[in-house]
Amino acid sequence: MLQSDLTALWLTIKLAFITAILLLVFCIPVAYKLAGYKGKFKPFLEALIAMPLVLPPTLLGFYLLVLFSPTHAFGQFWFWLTGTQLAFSFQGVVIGSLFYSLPFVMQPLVAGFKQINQTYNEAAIALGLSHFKRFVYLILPLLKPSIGSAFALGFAHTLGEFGLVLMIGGNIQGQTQVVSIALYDHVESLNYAAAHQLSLILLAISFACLVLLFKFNKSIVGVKQ
Amino acid sequence: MIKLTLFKALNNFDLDINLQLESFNIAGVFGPSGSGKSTLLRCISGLEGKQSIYINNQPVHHLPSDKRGVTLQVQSCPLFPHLDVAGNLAFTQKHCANRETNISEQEVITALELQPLLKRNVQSLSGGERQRVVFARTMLAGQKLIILDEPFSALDWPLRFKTLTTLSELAAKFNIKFIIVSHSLKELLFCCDTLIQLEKGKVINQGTSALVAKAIYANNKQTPLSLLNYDIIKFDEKYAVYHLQIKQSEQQLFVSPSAVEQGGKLIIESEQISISAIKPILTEHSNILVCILINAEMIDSNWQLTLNVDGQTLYCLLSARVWDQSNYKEGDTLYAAIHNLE
Repeated sequence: MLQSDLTALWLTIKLAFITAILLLVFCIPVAYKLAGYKGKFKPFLEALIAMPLVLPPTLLGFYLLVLFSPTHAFGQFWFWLTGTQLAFSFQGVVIGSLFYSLPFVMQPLVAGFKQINQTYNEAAIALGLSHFKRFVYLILPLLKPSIGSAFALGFAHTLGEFGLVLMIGGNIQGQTQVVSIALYDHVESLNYAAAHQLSLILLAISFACLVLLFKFNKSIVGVKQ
Repeated sequence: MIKLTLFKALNNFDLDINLQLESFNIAGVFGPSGSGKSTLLRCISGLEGKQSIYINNQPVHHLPSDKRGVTLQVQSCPLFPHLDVAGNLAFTQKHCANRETNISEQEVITALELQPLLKRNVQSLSGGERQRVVFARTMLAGQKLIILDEPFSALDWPLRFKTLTTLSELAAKFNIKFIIVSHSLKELLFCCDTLIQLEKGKVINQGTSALVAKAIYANNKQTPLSLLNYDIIKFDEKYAVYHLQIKQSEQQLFVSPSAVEQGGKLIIESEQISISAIKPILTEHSNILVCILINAEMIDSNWQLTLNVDGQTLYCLLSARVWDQSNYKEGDTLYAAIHNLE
């Protein structure tokens, strides 16, 4: 296996892992609020979160690239803060992936919170448990399958990113070249053996993620009484 | 003491309640399905609405559920599925703050005979087992006012009476007050000293269980039930029957062990009683009580007779034809044969 492929593989796994973890940290409190929210803006919020499901990744990538550019206020602010540019950097790709995989992490968590809220949370309120204790000792442990499911989906979805990474990160080896882009390169240069190798590895990892996902989904069913 | 003023618009009617419960140990809320019973309980506990509620002369309506000193066991209350039975009980005892009773996990487990269930996964429990564990968990929240919504509906009658007897014992031992909602008058009469009858969101009767029950019978809402308190004299091993004596009376009964295991009260349906002015010849009815006819009134097409058995009340029904032929008068001494006790 080529060294550049190994680097791309490591970078992809790192990107998927960081994205899934950051999304969990962001989505758990937001999903908790969203699951209990019944206001008039609910459809608007739900649509906003689901947007990446229907948008072409290149469209998302294009607007983020504009946002990250040194001529834009956000790009300038980031440069002032860190001394680096977001466009064509690993950090930029991570931020892009956060938007791209947001609905895949948010939706299982919202569904999990809704299920817990309707039954177990109310029983705990009636028993007289405080809000903090309910969240920490009851809701979070009960949410474990949904957290696992959200992580697996977010991780697996980020693994397969192509258009968005190419738009924001370009194709810089060791920095922004993920497996899907390395695979594209091999096919373009007619190196099918290397393409097969990378494809098989990506297939195996994706399959393992889905097996884990269905395992977590099975435990969610077990939560129902 | 509980004082509450509730107004809440429901789908088909308004829940409009002005209620004051002065002294009670176990109060029952009785009414048909959809009469607003569960909503009333949810309002008291703080799960619904912001109504005017005073508990022990302290306003609690501004307090969240966990600060009201009330535990509500909602209907079909679930157990926490990530914990086994023992875990569910320990969880409540550990995390419920401001416990006012010192009831221990072991006491509840022993009282409700839950030892064999402790290691069980909660999803493997039957409906009745689940309700007993849920009740144990409610007790361990440690509050002095506990509200139960149809708590034992999945238990068969003998086990339900037994559990209600345990509930009464725990109430007396730990000075806990209970409010129980049920659509079964039999269940409420067995354990409650106070009854509240709700209909379409309004309190239509309130008072001692006996008085409210009488009003319910008079409105032909239910077939009358009688409760007899007794002391056990002995267990006759030869015939496998208990020999009982009616409380504050010399009169005696022979009953099956299953009836005694339910607790210190015999529940007698009006269909189980037949009366006559002459003492029946001892046949298969070995349970004959001497009583005095207190009152007879026509309800629907039957006559409902109220009989006094040395201070306790028996209700029986007679058809209009039998009543017309009987010539019974108030104050007459009658013989009540009670069937199916052995």
